Amino acid sequence: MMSVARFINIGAGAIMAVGAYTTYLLTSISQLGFLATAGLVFLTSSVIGLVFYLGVNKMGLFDQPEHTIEDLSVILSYGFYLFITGGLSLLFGARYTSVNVKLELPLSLSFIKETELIILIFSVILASALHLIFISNNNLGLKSKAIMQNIQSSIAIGINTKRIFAIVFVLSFGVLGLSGCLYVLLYPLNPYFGLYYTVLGFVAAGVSGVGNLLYSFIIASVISILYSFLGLLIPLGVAIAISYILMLLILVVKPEGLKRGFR
Amino acid sequence: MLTASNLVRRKVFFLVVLILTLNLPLLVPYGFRLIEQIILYSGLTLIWVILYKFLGLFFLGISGTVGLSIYLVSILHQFQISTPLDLFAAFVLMILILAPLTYLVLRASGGYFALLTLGLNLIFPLITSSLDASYFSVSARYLSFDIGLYMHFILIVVFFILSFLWLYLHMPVKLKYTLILIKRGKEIAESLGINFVIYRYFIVLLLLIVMVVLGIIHSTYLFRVDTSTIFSSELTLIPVTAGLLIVIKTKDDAFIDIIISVLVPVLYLLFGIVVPALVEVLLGLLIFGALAFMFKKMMVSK
Repeated sequence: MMSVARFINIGAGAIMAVGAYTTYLLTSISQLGFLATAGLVFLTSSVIGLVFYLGVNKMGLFDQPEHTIEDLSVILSYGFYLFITGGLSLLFGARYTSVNVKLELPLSLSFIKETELIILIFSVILASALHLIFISNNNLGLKSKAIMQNIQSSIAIGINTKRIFAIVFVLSFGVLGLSGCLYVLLYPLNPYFGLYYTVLGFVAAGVSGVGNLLYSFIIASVISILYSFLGLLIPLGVAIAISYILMLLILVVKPEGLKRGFR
Repeated sequence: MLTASNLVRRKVFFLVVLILTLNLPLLVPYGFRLIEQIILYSGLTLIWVILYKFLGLFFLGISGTVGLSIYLVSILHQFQISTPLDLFAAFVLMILILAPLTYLVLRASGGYFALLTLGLNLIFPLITSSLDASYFSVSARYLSFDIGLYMHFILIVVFFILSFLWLYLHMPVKLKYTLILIKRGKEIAESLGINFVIYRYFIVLLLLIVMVVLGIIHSTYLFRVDTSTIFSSELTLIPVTAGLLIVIKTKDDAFIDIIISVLVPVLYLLFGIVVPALVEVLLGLLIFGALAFMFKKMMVSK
């Protein structure tokens, strides 16, 4: 969303929460398996993404210059975040809730837990799929790369930017919802849990260089591993803070990120 | 005749009346704490809106900054350091923390700055809760400051200074134009002889220091300090919402802005404490509505 649509989405964590609570609802009222649940969560989040995009587009945000879109998107997504997390708090309460999800992996591995393996597989598939859609040299990928470089020039050469933005919103919201669905496999949820991941995701994108999906994925993985290891030696909170400050320092030395993206 | 100086005099007069009105709840039980909260939120709103309107910085790290100030006071208080030395030491420590941190976060701008500062609201509580759990082995600290009236006076002075600064920035003064040039970007500011990096850094740091002062004063009103309460999201939510209303509203009147900065916390204290989640939903809708209105206005003016 940041690279293609210039939309800085502070509300990303709220969509994760929507995905997590949809999983909670589906598993509470039905006997659906994990894959079916994940599919429905993706669908629900995507629909929310489409509705949100249509609303924002109707307002006229995407008719503004690029820097205005970036600045106002922060305010808009902040409003969206408040609306969704407040709504979820009203519906489910702000306390932590555990979700009982049935997993269907007929494996017994000693080196990794079943849930962790599923999350790993899902993450790799999602990152690869997004890379294939937006970065590789297919029709959509080429159009996305053109928009990443310059929106006005892309319009001038006949690319329907708004259709691409709609696809970006639908897929991003879908993936965010899905990550909320994966989150509940490991941790209890509350409406505000996604905020931390929003910041982590943003910093990973900033450090890797905006527009570099693969690098963002690698950096996010490195950060997670780094503070997991540091967490063995020092309190976890301090370890996360050290990782965060390290990333800030990288951004000071290289404001454009470690690897320059398409912009 | 209504000259500029008359107008300023009139606004300062109204400001004094506003502050006196704010102090009316002193006459009722618990009024003291009520005024403190209103002035705290109002002051934070004015700082936020100066950062946004005049420097273009969408600062979201309010609860992190204020919360950390309170936390440091509580630690120093725990070590039985006498008052006001503990407050002063917390103030100095916060400056030492904020000075390099401000430089780092100012490397980013626009939405990136917003997200980096939002990170402070998450990182600081993580550090403090980890320290409490592992090194200090406490879940909460109990404070007992007996300097209410004295602190209340300082709080009123800080509020008055911030309000006056806000009024001052709405007059044709050099500071206002310097800030506007800085907001427009490095090239424009430096082409007119303004040291963009130094100016921006010191102005932001100064405003954050005022935020720290508000946080430290707030700590003297508290009895119990724990991570979940001192880093409360309301500390960010209310000033940002009030600030957005000030920025989005159509009539550019500095005095009405100050009234909004007071009214939003009052409304929150009246309704939000009962159902905070409902207030969040309404604030979210309000932001959407206000932006939709703003876009419509922009379209019409085009």
